[in-house]
Amino acid sequence: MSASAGPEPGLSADLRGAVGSFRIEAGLEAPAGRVTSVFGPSGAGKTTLLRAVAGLTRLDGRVSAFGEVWQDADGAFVPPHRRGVGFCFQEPALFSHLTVAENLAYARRRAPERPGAPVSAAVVERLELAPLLDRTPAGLSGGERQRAALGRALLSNPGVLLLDEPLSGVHLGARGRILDWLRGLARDLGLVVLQVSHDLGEVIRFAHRIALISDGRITAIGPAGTILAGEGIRAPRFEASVVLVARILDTADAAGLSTLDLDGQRLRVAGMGGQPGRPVRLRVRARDVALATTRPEGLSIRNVLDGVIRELRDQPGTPFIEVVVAVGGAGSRNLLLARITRAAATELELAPGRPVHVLLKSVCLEDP
Amino acid sequence: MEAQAVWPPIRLTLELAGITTVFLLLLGTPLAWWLARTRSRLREPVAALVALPLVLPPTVLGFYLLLALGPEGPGGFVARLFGEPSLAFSFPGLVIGSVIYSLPFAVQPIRGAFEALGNRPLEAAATLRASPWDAFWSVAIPGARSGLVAGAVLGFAHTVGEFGVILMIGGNIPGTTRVLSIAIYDHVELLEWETAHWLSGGLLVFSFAVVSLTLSLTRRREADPA
Repeated sequence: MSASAGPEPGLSADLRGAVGSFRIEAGLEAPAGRVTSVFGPSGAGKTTLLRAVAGLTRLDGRVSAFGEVWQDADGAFVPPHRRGVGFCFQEPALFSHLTVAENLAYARRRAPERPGAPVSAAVVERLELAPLLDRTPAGLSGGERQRAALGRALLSNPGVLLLDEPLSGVHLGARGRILDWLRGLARDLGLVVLQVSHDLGEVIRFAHRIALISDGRITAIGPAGTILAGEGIRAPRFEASVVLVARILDTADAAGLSTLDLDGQRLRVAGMGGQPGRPVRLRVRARDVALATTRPEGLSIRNVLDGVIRELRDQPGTPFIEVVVAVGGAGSRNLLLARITRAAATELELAPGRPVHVLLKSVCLEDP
Repeated sequence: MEAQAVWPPIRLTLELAGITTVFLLLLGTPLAWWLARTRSRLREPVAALVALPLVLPPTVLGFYLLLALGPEGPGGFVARLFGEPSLAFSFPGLVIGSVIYSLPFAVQPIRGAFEALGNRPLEAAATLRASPWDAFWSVAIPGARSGLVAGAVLGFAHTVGEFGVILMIGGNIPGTTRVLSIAIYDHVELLEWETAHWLSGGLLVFSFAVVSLTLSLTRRREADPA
């Protein structure tokens, strides 16, 4: 199990069945404390999968969470209201006869106590709900409704938070802040967060783990970096990048740098604290990665890793190609993406299996 | 015009319509809920049965009710448990007849409101840990309130305007079964035109108010679907 999978048990689902003429057969694991994104095209079964986990749509198979069986092949079936799931629907289902404040109170009243769970005031502040509290849902914009519905779901103190495009109507800045906060909540409270999205930017920003779904089947699942690099997913509007998980060895030496361990290789990065041994997530943009066939000398770039080329991906219509490089041995799960010109690749005779030196111009830290 | 002649039928009519409305809501709401949500094959037959009084001549309905409530019918059997010979020609008999006769007028708007509400708010309630029973009271009933009010108003009003069924099963017993519509019929028969005018005019105004209220409730629901 990789570091980003987390040690705690979370949600495990293995579901199959038909909804109308659509067949779904999907199994996935979502660890506690982590955000798992289910990513795929429209009509792939993302929403059905989420609904089945919540028990709103009944499929065959097995679902368990935190060691508790929610349904199994013997016919056991825990109804949705006893599963302790929070569900944000794509079209927010606020109760129209209640104000926003009363909608939040509806959830709060029925929620069990959970130490450390966000109180109403924190939810109102983080989701910027204060100006909406006395209003009824009919007068709210789509984004406002989504924020209120997310707040309501959080206040029911769910162990499993199921998000179906929860912030599609919220403008980008606020969406980023809210997603960052949710990631922190998931980690601090040990929540399972299962999110559905077809917005790759959101997935990249939010997900620790990604499950790819297509035509009712999970085609790949794993740490976000591995899946994004391995499956060749790129967002047209977002830069290609990968997420690596490294471990802190030492923080803030005399030069103000911290040393990280990445599959046995050392990385030195600026400006971070944290306990030695703690995992950290690094985002590396493809355009910040350069490749060399001989060990370079006299460079300002401090981080040079050894890697093996796994794959070359042509970018038709551009002068670039992307090179997938495994760092830490050919079988490593830590993959880097380098965006270089096709001319350079030809000149250096880059090909799969060839060892290369990987130069990292810059590395962004993400919270673990 | 004698006050004595005017008020007893009015009071009796209001009593009958009020009690009938309570029973209409108690029976009609679960029935409307079932009709709005079930996937049973029995749904259409049951819906047709409930709607039958809309098309059946009141005399036909009244005739069968008379048989059912009379000494030989199940109503008579129940009545004997309470030491009465029959439910026909009694106030409880009128209530039973009125509930059946007005049921479609109460059930239709309530069913419509439940259908308009849809499944989504109930699913949301379930994911907020509300049991189905809890969600019914905290989400479905408040969400369908305009339909419930419309159903109650229409059921009440339709009971006030009832004539044929009551004549068949209740007759014309002053203070027990002599309701407004029957009193008006009597006054006209006896050429007491002034009293008939007052009572009829009152009913006309009342009916107009009821229809206006119901229409405005229905329109508000359409304007505010969220």
